Amino acid sequence: MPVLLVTSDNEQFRVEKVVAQRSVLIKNMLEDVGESDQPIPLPNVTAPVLKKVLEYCDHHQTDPLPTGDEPSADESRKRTTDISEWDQKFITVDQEMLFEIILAANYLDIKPLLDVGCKTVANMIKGKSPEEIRKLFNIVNDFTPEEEAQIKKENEWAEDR
Amino acid sequence: MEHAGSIHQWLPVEILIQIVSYVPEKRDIAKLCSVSTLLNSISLPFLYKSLNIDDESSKNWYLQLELFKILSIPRYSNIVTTVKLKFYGKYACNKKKNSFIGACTCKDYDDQIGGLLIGLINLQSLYFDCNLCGAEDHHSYLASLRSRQLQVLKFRCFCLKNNQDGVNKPGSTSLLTGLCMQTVTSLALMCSNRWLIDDTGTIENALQNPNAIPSLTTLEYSVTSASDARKFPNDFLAAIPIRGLHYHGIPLAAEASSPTQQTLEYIMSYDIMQWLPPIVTKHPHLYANLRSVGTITLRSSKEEDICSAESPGPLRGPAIVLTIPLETREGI
Repeated sequence: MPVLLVTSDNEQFRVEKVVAQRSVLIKNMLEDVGESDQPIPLPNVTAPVLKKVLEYCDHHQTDPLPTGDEPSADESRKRTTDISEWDQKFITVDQEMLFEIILAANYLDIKPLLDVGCKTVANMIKGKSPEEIRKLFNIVNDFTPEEEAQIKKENEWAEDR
Repeated sequence: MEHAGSIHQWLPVEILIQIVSYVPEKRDIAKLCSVSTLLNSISLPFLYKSLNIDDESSKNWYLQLELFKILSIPRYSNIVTTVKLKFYGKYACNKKKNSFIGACTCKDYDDQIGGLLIGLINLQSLYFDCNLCGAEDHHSYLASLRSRQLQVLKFRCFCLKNNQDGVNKPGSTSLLTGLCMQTVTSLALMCSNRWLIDDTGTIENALQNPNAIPSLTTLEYSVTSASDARKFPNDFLAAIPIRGLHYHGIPLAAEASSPTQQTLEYIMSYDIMQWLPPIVTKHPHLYANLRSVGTITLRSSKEEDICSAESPGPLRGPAIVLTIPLETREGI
């Protein structure tokens, strides 16, 4: 039975339940409501972003659902930053869309998609200087030159790692 | 590329934390620390929480010494919870790129590392693999560790192989009963008997002291003993309530008269199939709660719990741990 999703800009998406349920948020909503053809409002997601997210959910509809054992941030650091070929192609979007997908995956509770998004941003950071990172993500340097110099000096040992 | 706003405005802190958690190289995390005050506060824990200090693979030991200086600053040292040390004295005995002087500088080297460890008040896990030469007395600082949260101590050292008189033995009962040992739940000791044990004679005796590591649940040990006896330590195990044992050696069979062990849930060892039947199946009542046994092979794996052993020779790579469920004891 298909599910009707309504985006913040009032566009309607009719999707298969198995696809929509990749989102733990939607899955829980459906379980709470029971069998119903009521549309599900998603006030935090716009149509272009939901279209993209549903493309991911459709491709991954037969993947095993993630278990409840969330690894800690420390463990995830050890995990590979590799992203599958399909996911890589999927996530090759402009930066604004990348951030929108991350936010939507977070809101809709689609852990594997959130991981892909975060890994992609992490990969963009690799090998860049602080100034390059600032430029890439439009970040204002709020350190005084003295503070910045001291921080650089204190963390210099990590150059060897 | 057009930016609608900065990454700070786009993404909430919890997502920024997740992103930084996926940056594998510390040199990149260090760069993030200099980007902005927000990214500094998010990234610092990833830089300092877990430290690997390895003088063999280090390309620039001078920078490692800088780390030691930084860790005298509480703002940084208080973040550290895990330290993995592996040292060969490469820069000490070679007298290259180091600031030490003297004939053998291993002791100065070790003292410097000791000074670092003592100050880490939030240290929870210490992995220690020492390959310094045996000419000096090392690691006497261990009893002075200021952390009261230490849970895992894995210690491998054969410094004092030669029988010296009058040397301080840091691994003695005084260490095992020390304040920093009160919270330890997992202990792995691989060292020479001489180094570790004081007047009590054996590691088994030392651990039976009621004040020695009261929270202990997992024990791994390989203490070179003067005695050739390879009797499985039934009496010792019956006296301490541990749940896991990693035993390095092939023990003799248990006797029916051995005391019962009530808490042991798993045993890891070499050649498990050789000695398991006599220990477990002949007298199953001895190990009432034993649920699994494991054997250690030399293939590569990410298992970090067991990564080195003395016999049949130091494992060069990480080990694979196979755990065999003990559901059908009769079948073994």
